[in-house]
Amino acid sequence: MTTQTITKAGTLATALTPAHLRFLESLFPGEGLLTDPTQMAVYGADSSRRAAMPWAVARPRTEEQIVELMKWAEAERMPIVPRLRGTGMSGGAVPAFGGVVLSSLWLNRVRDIDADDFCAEVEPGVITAEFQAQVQQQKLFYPPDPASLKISTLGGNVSTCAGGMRAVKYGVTRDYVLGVRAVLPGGRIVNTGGRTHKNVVGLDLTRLFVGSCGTLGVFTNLTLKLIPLPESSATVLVAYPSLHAALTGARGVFRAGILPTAMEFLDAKACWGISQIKDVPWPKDKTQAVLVLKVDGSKAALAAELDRLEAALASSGPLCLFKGLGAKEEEPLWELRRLVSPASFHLGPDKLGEDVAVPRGKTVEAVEGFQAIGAEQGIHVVCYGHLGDGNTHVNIVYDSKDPDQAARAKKCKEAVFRLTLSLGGTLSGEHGTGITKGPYVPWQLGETERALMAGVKNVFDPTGILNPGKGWV
Amino acid sequence: MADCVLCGCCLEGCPLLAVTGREELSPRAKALLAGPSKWQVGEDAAPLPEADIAALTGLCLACGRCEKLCPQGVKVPQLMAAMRASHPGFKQWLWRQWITNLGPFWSLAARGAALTPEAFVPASLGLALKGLKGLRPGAGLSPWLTITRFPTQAFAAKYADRPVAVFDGCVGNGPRRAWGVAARALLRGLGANVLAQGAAPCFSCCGSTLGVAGLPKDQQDVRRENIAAWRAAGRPLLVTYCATCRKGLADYFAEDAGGDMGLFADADEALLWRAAITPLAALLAGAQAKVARGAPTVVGYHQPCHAALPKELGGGGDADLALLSGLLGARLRTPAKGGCCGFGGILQLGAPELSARVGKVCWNALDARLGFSAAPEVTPAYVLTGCSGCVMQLSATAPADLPGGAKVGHWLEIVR
Repeated sequence: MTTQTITKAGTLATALTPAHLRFLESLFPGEGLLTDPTQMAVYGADSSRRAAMPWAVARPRTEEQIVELMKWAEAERMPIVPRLRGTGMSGGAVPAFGGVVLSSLWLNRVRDIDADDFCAEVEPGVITAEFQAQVQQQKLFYPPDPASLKISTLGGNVSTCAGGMRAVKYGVTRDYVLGVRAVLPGGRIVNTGGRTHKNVVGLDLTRLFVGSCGTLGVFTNLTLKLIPLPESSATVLVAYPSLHAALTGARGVFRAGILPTAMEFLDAKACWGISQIKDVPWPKDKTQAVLVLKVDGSKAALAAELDRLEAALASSGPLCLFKGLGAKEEEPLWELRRLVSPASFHLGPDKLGEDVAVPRGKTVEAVEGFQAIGAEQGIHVVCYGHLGDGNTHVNIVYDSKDPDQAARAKKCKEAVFRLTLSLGGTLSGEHGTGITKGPYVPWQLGETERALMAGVKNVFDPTGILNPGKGWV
Repeated sequence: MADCVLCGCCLEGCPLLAVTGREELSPRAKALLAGPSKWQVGEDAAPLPEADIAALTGLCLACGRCEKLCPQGVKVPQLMAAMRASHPGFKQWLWRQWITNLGPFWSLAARGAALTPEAFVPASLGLALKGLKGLRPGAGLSPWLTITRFPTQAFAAKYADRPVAVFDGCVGNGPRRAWGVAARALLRGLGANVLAQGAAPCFSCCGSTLGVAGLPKDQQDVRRENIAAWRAAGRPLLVTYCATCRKGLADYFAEDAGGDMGLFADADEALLWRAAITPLAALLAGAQAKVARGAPTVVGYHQPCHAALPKELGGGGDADLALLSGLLGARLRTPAKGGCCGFGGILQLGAPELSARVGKVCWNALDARLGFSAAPEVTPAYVLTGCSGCVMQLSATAPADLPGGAKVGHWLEIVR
């Protein structure tokens, strides 16, 4: 596990005093407050594998408690680190600069699902997959589907603007957040947006909150957009003898006028990693790349759409092709794709999980470039991800106990970033910058842009107590 | 064992996390604290106290759902057991918990033995730990199902005259001897060559609870006894009717597949053991039955966490569910999202209130499927399962305010 050097930002509190503790104990009685390091440990870590010990963990059951906490925190200059399931990949939920972790997992009610307004009101701690299952019962659809959807929350997804595989057709979390209710430092409550699908009155504060990594306010309610549930879907998994053939296949699909719901690819190393933890349907010796595509629509239209998809893929010379019609048949195919992130640990004990994105037309160039960087540095570089939208996951796998490997891994990461930026891309498509990519933000954003963002942050959080040191500040 | 990478895949399955929303109870928290790399933050940070870690990580249901979800192969229940075993004060702690929490039930367990803890060690420990709350002696449910056709041909084709032994486990050997009687009657109906008393092996506890409780030596002892008894009886087919016993027995193979850990004579015997373990329900697949008048109109099924085993331990889905679905048809209802009943491991000793909370959620899911609280006069709270631990826990946590009361039992109890 990587350790984190603790530095204190500015004039913030540097520890909890006995008076602080008494306040927290009175506001969060019983199980609502944790101060025992053993119990708090997990609240200091997330899926980035970074960790730092919280000073305390507060678990509100009501918005009023959050309001009181934020009044107190601003007055005391107390860092507050909002947290939900801690499944983020960039250390956004790690209290690397100290402070009180605020776990909103007990705010987990679905307040309303409205099939006429096509919107829902939820608290931040609702598990994304459980929410999707609930809206589906009313034939409604909430499309964002980060790979973590069964374990992550809607609040966490909004904080990071989680992407997912369906982005190519349906967009990302941002496109489904109509409104936010949040508590700001000092205890002010802000309501942005609302239940209308269109709204151009004033600046779009909702968009500011989405992807803000808990740096602007603490969510207490989210208004989400829903759409009608497609009647059915189908999935095709295709294996290829080369990456180039796979990318040719992908291009063929778009040229045929098909907009898939999802279009994912796995490179040779990703395929190998998955084969280490699950039986795989593709020929292990010949497969250099795999494409997984999903289409959705009415049952009647899907059969024809599948034929068109198969025809569009045929000319690219696939090794084999598997089809699944309907969720039950599709799930095993998608399960393979979802396993790739943990599977990469079979190549080495540590990884730098990057999620760069490039303009869609540059994907081939980018992936070939990333693989070349890995070969040059003698480090495993696993590429997979959302081919359809240009967002590529680049896992740099290494052993941190070997200082030479660790240095080469860092060189790889920086070379990947440079190549991405030279292609007009971005350092993070969906994970956010957190602490793992924070230092590289100036590579992408100019001084003017960063100054503007710091100014915006200052309006919401003048004392800088919310998730200090994260993201872009 | 592999190290946790903090990916969080396990969070989906943990019944304790789902019920409490307390992340410190999640498998990830436990793996973080007790896994190979342990929690460490900063080179100068003091290590966390082992005793605190042991206490926190003891709050585990040992349901094994997390290990099925873990892409790294981290086995949190095993990790917890090792932690308990290595913690010097643990045995004393265990006894204290037992005395404090289970005192009122001792008289049931003691069956005339002197009421000193020493009198139970170690043979009765497994029984005692298994949550004595549900062990009220009695006849169980009234039977209402008659098997009218046994799949005798299929049985004969597969097993012919192979000797068959029944593994009863702590509950079938103790307060629910009727299960063993029913199981043997069904086997005779199949035409099986059931070993007669005297020739049949005398089995002990399967050992799974002992292992989870951090008593690996006692566990190894009962495992060796069981294998020796099986060997002496000519390695018969080993029929189980409790999902957790089946898992407990299959774990012998997981531990000593090569035969070099001292359980099995060699790898061949280990394979024979794995192949011998057979759920009774699987042997009855294809049976037909008649429902007597007065049978409940709707019957719930609770799926035990250990109902399905991984391929390397023999695999197979939930044979009890398959059998009951066939026999009871639309009468049988299973919650779409079957939850853990909350019995597991030693949680009842360390944190009975948590165990009860998980049980309540499980009953809510059953209620949502059966509807007994909405219309108690039409729909009874009648639940069958295939695990002795689940029977005890569901009995202990059943809603108390139903006019007709709740009825819980092993499916063997309904067979005439």
